Amino acid sequence: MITVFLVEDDPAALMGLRKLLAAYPEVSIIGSEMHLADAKHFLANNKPDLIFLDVQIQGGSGMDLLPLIDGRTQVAFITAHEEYAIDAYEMYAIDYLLKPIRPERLDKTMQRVKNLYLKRELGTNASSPMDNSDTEEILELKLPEMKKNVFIKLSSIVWIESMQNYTQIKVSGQAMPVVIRRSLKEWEATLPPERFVRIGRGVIIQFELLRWTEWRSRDEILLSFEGSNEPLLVGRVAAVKLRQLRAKQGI
Amino acid sequence: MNDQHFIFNVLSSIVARSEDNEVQEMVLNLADFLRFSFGESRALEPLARELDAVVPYFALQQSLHGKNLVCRIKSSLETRRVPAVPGMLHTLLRNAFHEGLKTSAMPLRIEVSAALEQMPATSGEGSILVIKVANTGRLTEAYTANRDPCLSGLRENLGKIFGGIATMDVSESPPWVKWTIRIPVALADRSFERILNEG
Repeated sequence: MITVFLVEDDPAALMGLRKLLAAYPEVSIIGSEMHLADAKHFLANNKPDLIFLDVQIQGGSGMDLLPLIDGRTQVAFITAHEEYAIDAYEMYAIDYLLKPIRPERLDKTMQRVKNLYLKRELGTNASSPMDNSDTEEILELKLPEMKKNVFIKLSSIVWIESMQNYTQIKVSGQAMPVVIRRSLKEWEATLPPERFVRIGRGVIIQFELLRWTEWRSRDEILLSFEGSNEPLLVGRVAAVKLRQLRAKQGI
Repeated sequence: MNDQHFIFNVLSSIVARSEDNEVQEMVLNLADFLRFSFGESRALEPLARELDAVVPYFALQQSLHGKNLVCRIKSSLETRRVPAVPGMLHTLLRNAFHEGLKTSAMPLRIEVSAALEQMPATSGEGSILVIKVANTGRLTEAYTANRDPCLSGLRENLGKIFGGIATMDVSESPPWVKWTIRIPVALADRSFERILNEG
């Protein structure tokens, strides 16, 4: 059973979330609170596997609960406003859900949670790219054009594509790539080469997240990744490089 | 006043309270479309942002017009990353619905497509982003006389960003009226980089 705690200050939204979660027999809701102080009290005495956490709740911010949360507890943020989630999401959360919650979007969160717990139950020690392990390396990216810095877990970088002096970074679970002023060459020098490989002239991928490839034409291949709904289209050079890599690793 | 947090919380509450699947789906689509409409944007944004918003927009229009409407969207994957003028597609769509509902036989058909085409040999190398929005109906005077402020604004914006190299045309081939925007991809990439540099 996956034990779940709900923190949401709108009674109707709370009821809606309970209704949506009723579709998952493996989920056991062990509590729900609407007020920050009550949620703090609950967490002092309970260690749920998963918390659905509204960012804005009565009595303060849902973020204030983060220091109380055990490393094994996963957090899925719920927010009406995308910006609230994006800043914190990559650091702490397994996912974030925008209100109103689409059932199919919740399903993705639950798949992610279930995969994680299945691995734990099987006692897999190998680090998963979706794990929130304490040792996870976090990169701080400065985005002067957006006047902010964002924190991105290394494991959540799916691919990086060159745009001349800029690169766009696809981060798992986020719809839009982040664009920053950093060349692919600089990325190549920063990222651990055992995990990130440059395929072709313009793309670096996190090899472990690659799920399938499909030829679209003689010169184009689609790459699909864990944590990204949208496949990446690359050219022939990248496809050849990938084939070499797979041969080398005996895949 | 634009209190987005309040609006999305209210929509969330409506979805939770409703037992009607159609109502829930309409509100979810409305929320998706509002999120796109409220989103802040730069002078250029990847086309994906707009393409993704067409789906809830079509779904909402379908809820309003039922059998009197047939919508279709076709886009190739490689168009998604191409920088485009925010609101471009939706200005054309808004217009297609407005004029189509007045002049088309029912059902009104609306089609959107986004594709990359090779640049003609005479114009250099590379590809062009080609956006088409077509509706059944007639080409009215409002189209041809450039009287629609949104369409004129879009044309002006394209000119300002791409210096007259991007084109926006309308044509009629009964029963279809078709708007086409063409933007060279290399130019769009350069313009996007300039915009990012300017901060």
